[in-house]
Amino acid sequence: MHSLGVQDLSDTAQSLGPGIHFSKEVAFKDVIKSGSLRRMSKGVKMGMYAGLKALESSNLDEVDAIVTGTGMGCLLDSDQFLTQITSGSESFVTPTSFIQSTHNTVASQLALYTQNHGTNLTYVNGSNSFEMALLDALCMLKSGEESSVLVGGVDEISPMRMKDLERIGLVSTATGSSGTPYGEGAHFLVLSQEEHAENLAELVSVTLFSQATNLNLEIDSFLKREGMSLEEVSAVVIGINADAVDAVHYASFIQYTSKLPQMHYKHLSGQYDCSSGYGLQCALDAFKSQEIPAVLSFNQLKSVNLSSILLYNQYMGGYHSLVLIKTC
Amino acid sequence: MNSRIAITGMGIISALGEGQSSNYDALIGQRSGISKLENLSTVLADRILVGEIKKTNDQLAMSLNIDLSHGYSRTTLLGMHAVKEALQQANLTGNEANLGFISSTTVGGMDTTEKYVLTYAESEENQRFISAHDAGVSTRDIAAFFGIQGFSTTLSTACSSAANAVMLGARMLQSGQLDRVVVGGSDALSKFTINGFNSLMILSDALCAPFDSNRKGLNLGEAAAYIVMESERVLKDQPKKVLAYLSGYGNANDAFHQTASSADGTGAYLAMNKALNSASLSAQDIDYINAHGTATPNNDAAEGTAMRRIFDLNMPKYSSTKAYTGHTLAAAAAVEAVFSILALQHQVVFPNLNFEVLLDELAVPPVLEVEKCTVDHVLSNSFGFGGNCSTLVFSRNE
Repeated sequence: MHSLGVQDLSDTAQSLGPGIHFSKEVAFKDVIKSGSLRRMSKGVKMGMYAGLKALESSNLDEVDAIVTGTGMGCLLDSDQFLTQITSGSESFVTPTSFIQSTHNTVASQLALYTQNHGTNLTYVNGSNSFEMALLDALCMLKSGEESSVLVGGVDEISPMRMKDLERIGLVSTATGSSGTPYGEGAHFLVLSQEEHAENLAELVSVTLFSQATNLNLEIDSFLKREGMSLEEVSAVVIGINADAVDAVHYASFIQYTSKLPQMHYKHLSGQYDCSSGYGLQCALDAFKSQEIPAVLSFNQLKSVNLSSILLYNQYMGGYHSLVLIKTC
Repeated sequence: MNSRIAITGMGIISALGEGQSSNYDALIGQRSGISKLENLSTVLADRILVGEIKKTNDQLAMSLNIDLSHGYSRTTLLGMHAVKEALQQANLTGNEANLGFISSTTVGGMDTTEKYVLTYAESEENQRFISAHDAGVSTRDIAAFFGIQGFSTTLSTACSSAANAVMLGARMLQSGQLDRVVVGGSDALSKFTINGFNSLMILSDALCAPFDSNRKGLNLGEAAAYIVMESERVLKDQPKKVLAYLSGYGNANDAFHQTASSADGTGAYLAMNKALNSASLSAQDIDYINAHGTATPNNDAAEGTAMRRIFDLNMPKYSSTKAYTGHTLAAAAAVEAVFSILALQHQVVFPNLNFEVLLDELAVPPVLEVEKCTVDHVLSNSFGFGGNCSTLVFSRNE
């Protein structure tokens, strides 16, 4: 798996302050040809970079399918084209930003770049778009329709859109203001049916639901389908952020899993639709190091043996997701 | 596919009208829905023709008893109309256990964004449309309107979107994650897409003429269409009329160019091939192709080439219905799924309007008149920007 975000996960990672936070710059030219690079917006660059890096770090030369998620798609190009048609008399409209504004740009550019003619999909379901990509990829693998899938999520910041989100209280402007710090990033991984010594983890199951009328029951039946109970889960990852309105919707999950070690990550990544990908990266890192770094610990409980992690994410009472992973 | 999937309901609103029967009547009566643009203000209005639904957002909301203080985009309102009809036909309310909703869109709430974006700084009242911009919100709002609480999601693969909603629905049913699913797409006309396609110089100022040698480009349209698919398991418990079956599907990427199709139609060829394999059918089993046929020079040539590669000398009857509805982007594959199912139900194929001269890539002309004939299997193509190519196969319920 490869992640690109506001900051890498490390012991010295800092909690983000109010406002918007751009993804760190990397040497995009190391993996993307400079000719193509010039035409790409930040989101496309991030998605291509993380996608190609994830492919490179897998033991596969090619994958059967590419499945991506993005809440807002290519927001920069979309906002640029929108500005062209709303600010003038529609007389100086150029196609470049329109061409690159479609939500499926990253998945299709990855296909073009790697000459992949396989199944190619883009989910655009708000803040569980990344988990939706995981869910469908897992579905394809389990049915045997595909044997390997490059899965990922990407969302970019557009200052114009952030201004609008600030107006409705979603992006924080100062300490104690409504909203939460916003970020951006790209998170890609390769899922394969093949057992391999270098595999990072097993993606066991993913579920999505639009309303959580009885979350505890939803969690129990999700785990039961995999022959597990909550007590058997080693740790949980919570998608909570600094927004007090949003946090209310995490209260019951925090309560229900309070006896387990709890992790959080959005204080490091910021909120964005695919930030749940950052959460998955944190979980995989915890598997590898077999410990929960202090910077991620939410309830300060230590874990003894990290063999399974349950991830829960939602946004403003909607777009719920549960993801279960196990060590191989 | 392990087993075919039953379709028990469908709903549509397009430039041909609201509901299956008005759409069917227009298809049979050879009445195109293409007209001058009325509901949107754009400098291009006099230079283009569109497949527009002649109802304002207020009219669409009022006929659903929605208070006008709503924050819904046109995409959402159109979607609600089509989902309502689909659920009704399947005799469902929406809040049944294990019922999912899979929608698709390319513009999402762009029609309200482009109308209000410059007012957001001053108008708190208009700020209710800020969240409507998000593609996922149209799905969320439609799901909430019908009380669909479980699985719901959205996808966007440009003009092939709704076909992929159908495919995901099939996977969710076959894996047992859902028992019933409403799948389809909705896209409203917007200045954004009109200007976008215009800047690419692929809009026609005349009625579009798919597969015609002298075609000049496409007419944009708007529509929403959804179908209800149910598993064999629930149908055993609650038998109901099956309209048709989804028997196969295929998704492939052309991997050639962001907006253009390859000359040999690689993506289209692969998608059709995959769909036939998944349906365990051979090319000769197909009785009718509802082609993507947008009437752009590039699409029709590439699709024509790909169809010849698949069907060779056994080319089945084919037509594009884009000259009726315009190109309805994300909704196109769902609109044409409804048309394909109507063809199976009524044992009829629909004509390709405005056709005069055959293009070089094809050996036989498309269907030119309404034709009554045996239709057991229909193949429906949808292709989009980013090389996203999708094919669905629908089969008759004998």
